[in-house]
Amino acid sequence: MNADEKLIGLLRAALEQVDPLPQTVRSAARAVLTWRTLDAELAELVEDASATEASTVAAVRSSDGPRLLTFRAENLEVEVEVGGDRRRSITGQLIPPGPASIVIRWDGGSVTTLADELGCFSADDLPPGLIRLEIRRAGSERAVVTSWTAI
Amino acid sequence: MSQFSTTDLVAAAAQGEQEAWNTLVARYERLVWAVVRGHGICGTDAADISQTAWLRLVEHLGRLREPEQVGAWLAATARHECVRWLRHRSQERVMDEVPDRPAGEPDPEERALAADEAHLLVAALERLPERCRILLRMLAADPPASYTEISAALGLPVGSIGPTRSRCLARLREIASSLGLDLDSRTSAEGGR
Repeated sequence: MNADEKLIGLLRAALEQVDPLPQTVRSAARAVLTWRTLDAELAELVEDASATEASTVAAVRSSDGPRLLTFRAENLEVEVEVGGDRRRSITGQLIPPGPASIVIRWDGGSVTTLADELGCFSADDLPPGLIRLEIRRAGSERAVVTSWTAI
Repeated sequence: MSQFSTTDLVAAAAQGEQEAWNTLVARYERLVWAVVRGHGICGTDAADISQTAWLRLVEHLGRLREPEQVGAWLAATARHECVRWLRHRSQERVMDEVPDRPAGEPDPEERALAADEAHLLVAALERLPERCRILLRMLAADPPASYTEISAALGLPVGSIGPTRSRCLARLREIASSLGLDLDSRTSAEGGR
């Protein structure tokens, strides 16, 4: 074993002692397999920007603009603006517009809201952390789910 | 299930087999953690990003183009999530940012606080540039990350990982030495452990 390999060995032992992988991180990684949603189409997060940044390209980056998340599936785009402080609120837009039932899930809870004819929806009083939206559009058999995303 | 190939484990996990998933987690949890901590993210934020990286894998289990490269995929995903998180953090907390001490200038109190060698060595690691921190933490992970996985986490070609590794280790020795930690006697070819 050369000196570099020995140093990496020392570093491994030091990190194991000083900065070990927390048990909670391991448990969380194991638990997420049960979070998957079968038979639904995934809308992936394709844009994560502050709303001011997104709407005015030339604008100075704002430090307090709300976040604008964009999720995209094959036939549906979901734009979500995230606001609020200790509890989060979201307002969203389905593209193409149309009515839908939307379940917003987080670890240990969910709330259901409706998108109107224009594809607009909103929800308040959400806990900060990871959420996912399950969207069932009128006349569409297959649900669309967004990526889990921290708000 | 540790005797199964990574591709088999990915396929079984995609079918919802928890044991296969746990084996994948055991194989790569320290790799993901090394990338997140290497970006200087700690505490609950680090835990959240790690969980997000694993969630991304759950979402993509049935659709990975190269399931045998799931380690590299996780490394790149963890990096992506770290960069995204750091970008928002810089927007949110521009005002209360406390500048870091310049590298290589130890806080006078640090010697007293970090009494034992492990703390000193990790303190030296934390003074390295981000690229070195990520690379060395990944090499020190158990099991160690492959060059392909490190390449994915750093966005560097595989061929440059070896030379970067040498430079980072040399710098780690220098900083550790400046903190008063004698590594030479511990890692010389004859002596050491």
